[in-house]
Amino acid sequence: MSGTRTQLERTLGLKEALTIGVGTMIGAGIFVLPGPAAALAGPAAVVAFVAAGGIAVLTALSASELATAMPASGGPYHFINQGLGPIFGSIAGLGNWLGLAFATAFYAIGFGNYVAPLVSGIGIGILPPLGVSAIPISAAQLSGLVAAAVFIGVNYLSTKGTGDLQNIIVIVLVGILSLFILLGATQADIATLRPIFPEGVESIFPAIALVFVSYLGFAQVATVAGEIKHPGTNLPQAMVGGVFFVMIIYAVSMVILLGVVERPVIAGSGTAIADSAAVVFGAFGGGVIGVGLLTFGGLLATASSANASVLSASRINYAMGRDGLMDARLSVIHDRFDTPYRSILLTGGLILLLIIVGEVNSLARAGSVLHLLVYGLLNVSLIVFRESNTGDYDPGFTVPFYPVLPALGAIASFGLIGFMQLSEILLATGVVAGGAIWYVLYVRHRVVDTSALAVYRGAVPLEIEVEVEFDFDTPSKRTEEVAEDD
Amino acid sequence: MIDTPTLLIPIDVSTSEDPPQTLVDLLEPLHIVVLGYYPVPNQTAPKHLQAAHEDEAKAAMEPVVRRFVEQGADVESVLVFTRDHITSIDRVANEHDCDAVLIPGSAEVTKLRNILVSLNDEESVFRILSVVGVLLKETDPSVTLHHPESIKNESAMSELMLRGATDWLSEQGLKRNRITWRNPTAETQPPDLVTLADEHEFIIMGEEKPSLAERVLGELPERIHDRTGRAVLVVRREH
Repeated sequence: MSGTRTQLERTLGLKEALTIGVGTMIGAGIFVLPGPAAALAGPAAVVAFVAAGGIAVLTALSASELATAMPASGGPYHFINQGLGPIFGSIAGLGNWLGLAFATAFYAIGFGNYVAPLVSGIGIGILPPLGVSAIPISAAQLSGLVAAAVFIGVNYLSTKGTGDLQNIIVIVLVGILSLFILLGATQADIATLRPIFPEGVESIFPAIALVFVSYLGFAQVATVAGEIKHPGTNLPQAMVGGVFFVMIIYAVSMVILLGVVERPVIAGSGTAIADSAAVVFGAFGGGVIGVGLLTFGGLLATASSANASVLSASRINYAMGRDGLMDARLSVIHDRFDTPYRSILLTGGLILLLIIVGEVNSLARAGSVLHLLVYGLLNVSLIVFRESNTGDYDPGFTVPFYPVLPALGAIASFGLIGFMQLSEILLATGVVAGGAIWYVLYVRHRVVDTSALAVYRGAVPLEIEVEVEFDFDTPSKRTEEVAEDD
Repeated sequence: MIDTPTLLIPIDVSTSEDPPQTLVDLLEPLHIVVLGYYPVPNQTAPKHLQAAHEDEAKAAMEPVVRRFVEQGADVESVLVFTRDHITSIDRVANEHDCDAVLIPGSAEVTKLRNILVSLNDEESVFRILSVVGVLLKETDPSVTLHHPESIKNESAMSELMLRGATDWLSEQGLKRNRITWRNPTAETQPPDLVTLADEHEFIIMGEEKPSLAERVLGELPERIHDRTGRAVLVVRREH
């Protein structure tokens, strides 16, 4: 196994890193979830978005430190595996990978939500017959399937290509949302935001749990850390900056959205922001243009989120294969395209399956809960690295206010899981059990735990000194030589 | 002053090649600790590798130790399987009270003509010079003295130190004509240590001043070695 090993190239700069993060986040958060979030918590959905962002910032700080200490592809999974050992590595790898697959399926159906009315509007008659065929499948799901397949294909072919595409998408999205905010600010009526907690203060927690999926993008930056140039400075800037940027856009857009339309109008809608655009742009005589723009934005945003997640999910397979937690054949890099193509195919297959069987809100919550599990472990891992003080842990960036912030990050992440629905809590439990079983059945015989935790516990020595005694019998040999010379 | 300096020679026994005879001849008067280290990759237990590669590691180490022993040197051997050879080097250097650590050269050296001596660590100038004195007593390469201050400006301190070092070495029995230094002037900026190292076959220097994370082998000696392929002997501070 030693010797030359194909590495992914460092081709992503700060701009690309930031856009991978912002691109993944901005889609799901504001284009799909405002409706469901408003249905849960009313105007307090704004608070939910900010609170979820706060938890994400805590973990983004920890992830930045860990990523600058070990900038290898794999992201959160990799940090947990290195810090807490292969058993938690297996759990985190499975959770991170499944979480991204769930999130990608959620983004893809979100995309479908935006496509469906267009398709039926144009009146393409092929959809109803499909809907009544053997597997009941909605137009949104069908569109999501097609979109997901396209992005799986794009990722199969190149990494660089996704970076370029992502840049353009993010610029366009930020432009559209800025216009929405500017125009909306002139007509938003703050009075409609009262009462802030129509469903009670405690309703905020399920809302946070739901919208947390909107912030997954920051960690996506960590999953491609091995491909980022100058990770010491670019990583923390891309991750933490990205979360703050997106959090502000979410919060402001939510205030405007709830300020211009009555809550019942959008509650539960998968395209709430486009619905409200009719009002926002309508005041300027361009209602149709507004709906068109925001629908276009919704399509672009959900697509870009799905795209970035396919990239990241497949990277986790790649990293697990590299570390011996999965069959190494899975992490083979394509000769021509330079991508971990087998991981992409496996992940892609799972995503397509989830799109077919899933429902949008439960997919979002599943994506959230699995990431909360992983992020909680990530924060714990950072604390273990700092406390064990072993090996060559030397991060280029360090979390301020240690240990308060990472501890808070861990508590908030694990705590929020408690506010999920029973099915999601069971999913998280299942992943923990599944990861542990996978460890016992496959990983344990193959991988030795040399994590920071194992070294700290004294389970693995850093070195072993071996007795060596060479008997050269020098003097007699010398005398022989002398004797011969004589 | 050190009477018989102890030198640690770390060698990677998974890839090791024999040290050139010229180096063995030069270093023979020192007390030598050969540290064979076998790198253990991540997520592998040292004892697994020990079981699989102990004989191979010993076999790689044996000829190196033999060369020094046959030359008449006083040699100790240490073999480790380690996940962090830098930490192992530090530990063994401390446990065996090593005065110096060698970075074995990678370039082919058939004859030692010139040795570069950097008085970069003023705290251990006498330690550096006594190692030089011991090494050059019975061998004949010439010595270029270097003081990093002289790079920055035409420094009287530098000149005094270089002259003093020359006097001290000649009192140890070294002929003056074997010792040179470049008199620094503003016009002829002397080249820096790395460039100068290229014109010499062997480099002796002190520890870097802000010893990085207590590491014996700092960044500068490694850089000199990487750039020139020359062997670098780093004299440690008194401790």
